[in-house]
Amino acid sequence: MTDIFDLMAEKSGFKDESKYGLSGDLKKTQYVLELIGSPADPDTLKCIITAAEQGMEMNCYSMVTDAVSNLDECIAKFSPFSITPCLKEADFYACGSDAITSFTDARGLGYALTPRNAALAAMQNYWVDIAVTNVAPHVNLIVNEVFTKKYSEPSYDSDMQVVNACCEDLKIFFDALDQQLQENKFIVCDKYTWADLHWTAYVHLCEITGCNSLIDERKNVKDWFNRIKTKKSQCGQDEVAYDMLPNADETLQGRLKSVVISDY
Amino acid sequence: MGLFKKSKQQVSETPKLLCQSGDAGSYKCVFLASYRKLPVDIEWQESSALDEKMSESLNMSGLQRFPCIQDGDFTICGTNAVLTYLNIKGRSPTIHPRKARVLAMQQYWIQVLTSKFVPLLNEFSTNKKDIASVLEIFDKNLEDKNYIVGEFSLADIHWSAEFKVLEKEGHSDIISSCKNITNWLTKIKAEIPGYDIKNEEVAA
Repeated sequence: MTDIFDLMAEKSGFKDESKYGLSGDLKKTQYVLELIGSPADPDTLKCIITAAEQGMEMNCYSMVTDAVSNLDECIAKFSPFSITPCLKEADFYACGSDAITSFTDARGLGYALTPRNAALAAMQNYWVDIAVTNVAPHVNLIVNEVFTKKYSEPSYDSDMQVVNACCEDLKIFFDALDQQLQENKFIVCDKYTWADLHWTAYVHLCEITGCNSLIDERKNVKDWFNRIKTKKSQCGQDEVAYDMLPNADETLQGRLKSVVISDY
Repeated sequence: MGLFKKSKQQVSETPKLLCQSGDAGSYKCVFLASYRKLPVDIEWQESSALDEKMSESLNMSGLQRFPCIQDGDFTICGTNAVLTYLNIKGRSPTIHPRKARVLAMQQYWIQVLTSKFVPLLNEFSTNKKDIASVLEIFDKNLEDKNYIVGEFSLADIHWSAEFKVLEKEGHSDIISSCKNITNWLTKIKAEIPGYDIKNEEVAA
């Protein structure tokens, strides 16, 4: 039976024999990762950032532009709860952003993102919790209006009342982040942690959906986000993880960029 | 003062773990502290004044998160933050799979719990059929395994805490037909000394 990753690779153009990354190929000491996800999904973005931060090449297939007819059915074969995004490495499958990011972090070439100090690690997860529990529901509603609904109905007009209400609800959390960033270069300390990675996905989506006032009106958040946009990857390679994220146009078109590490 | 003599301020107090009865997150932290044999004083509370204080300092309010840990001048609230703290603190080895694939499976089963199983529990009787479907897959995963991902992991802590809540709410019969889950839970109960704890401290 044909693997869904192979089918989507073919549709996205990755099946071209000249391209590196076909199942089992090795570059340096690693397998190339393959990811199925969506550009409007913050969880997919987290997986892409982690791969880029840890210097892991990742061929990304979009559930919007590279979808095949029985996609859900195929995904259910290795993800019985239909949890996405999904990752394949050789004969191994992992589903869900927590599984994929942990796997990539452990497999990657850089230092692990979790601080060794108990208090800092706990603080990191406090801010991850705020992002995932409090920020994500509002961002998902905005993204749904601005991008996701347009995937199935291109003429759909975003309901700006929903978008504006969500932006309003997000202010309190962006204010808190702004306050937290007063004394630190990154969210928890002067080192990049999972907290920064999670927030990057949500703040990026806020920016490309037109909610940039949430960033621009808060100096510390704005400075932090500029640092994120120019920060060299965690593994020391000359790559900027943020550059691997799809921009507004690409997201609207449903396209995902693959993580390509050229600095070996 | 002698060279190695601790001053009064340096004598560390037992960390305080503030929990809420019936809260799965609180049980997760109690189980982890107990499994790792970390001495903590447990206090059971109704509302999270400590989280309110912490959130207020960031101009957020009403988050009301449990559990919280207070260790000297360090305070943190929320299940994942406290679990992380308890998993790093102390001398016993952290519960963290070394193999990337096992680690990924640990995280996968935790996500299945939080995103697919727990939301169904809000309306238990309406969702009984869907709950049984999730448990059926979970039961199948436990076939020929001692633990959820093969070795003891945080996934076991997360799932067993949720079953503790189900037991407390009188829904323990939901797993009666799941042979593998029943066997696994019996094993977990025996291995986590704090599984049946109601209050007071988890002894070192």
